[in-house]
Amino acid sequence: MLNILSRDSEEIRHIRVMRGKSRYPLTPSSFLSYLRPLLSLSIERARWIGIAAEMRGFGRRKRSVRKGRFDILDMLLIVLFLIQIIIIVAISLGLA
Amino acid sequence: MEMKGFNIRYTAIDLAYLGVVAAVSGVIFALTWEVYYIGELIGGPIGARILSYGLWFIGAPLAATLIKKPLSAFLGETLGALVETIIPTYGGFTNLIYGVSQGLFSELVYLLFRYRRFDSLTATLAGAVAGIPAVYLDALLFEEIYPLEVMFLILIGAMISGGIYGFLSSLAVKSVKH
Repeated sequence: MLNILSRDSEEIRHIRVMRGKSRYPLTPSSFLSYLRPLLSLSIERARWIGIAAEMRGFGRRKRSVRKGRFDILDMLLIVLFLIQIIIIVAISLGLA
Repeated sequence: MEMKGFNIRYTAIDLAYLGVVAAVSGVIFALTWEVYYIGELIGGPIGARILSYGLWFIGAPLAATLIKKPLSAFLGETLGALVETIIPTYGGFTNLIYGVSQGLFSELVYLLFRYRRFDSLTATLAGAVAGIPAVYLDALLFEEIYPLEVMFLILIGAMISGGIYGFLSSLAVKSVKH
């Protein structure tokens, strides 16, 4: 979505330059003339994406909470993080 | 997700709108850096804030006016800042800190109105109050500290800019949605 929007934004700015307006929206009116087409294009896309998702049952999906397992790898990761923090604190205090 | 007294159940369309607001805000936030530097050249620190700061606050009023649900203002501003951070721009990770704080302040306005008003007035106020954390974080993170009277003018400038662009973003959403 970001790529499409960046392209839209670039096109709008290009058209603004072709029409003799500034490339960047420096005034409130130029901001509106930049924002309206950008929003118009994106909202239309978003509405249909949302409708398509709802039609596929997004709103009716069952929400389940999975219980996380805490195993030896998680423990190892936490210990490594703690060691890292201790080293950083020691270096910043000039102990190492 | 249920919150006592408020309906914050987001449909797929709301989430798609939120994604759009995040992307649009992120792109605008990234562009605003150019506007900020142009403004700084023309009008110094106060002029730069009047010209550009409101553009950095539009995520919240855009999302709230479009989605009209609790937390939409906070999510719009925060996700916009996240997109700006990912792009990335000059501010880097600090953009996200700004986004979260500005989003919280803007959300407060809608909360004060008990999520009953999502019009131009609330959008203007939501944009304006976002200036408070922005100026505070400027001082805290970038050491942009000036004499007290200049700081006051900078704060007023940021809030006026936020108010103007908040109002304009609500106008843009209304004109596009209907």
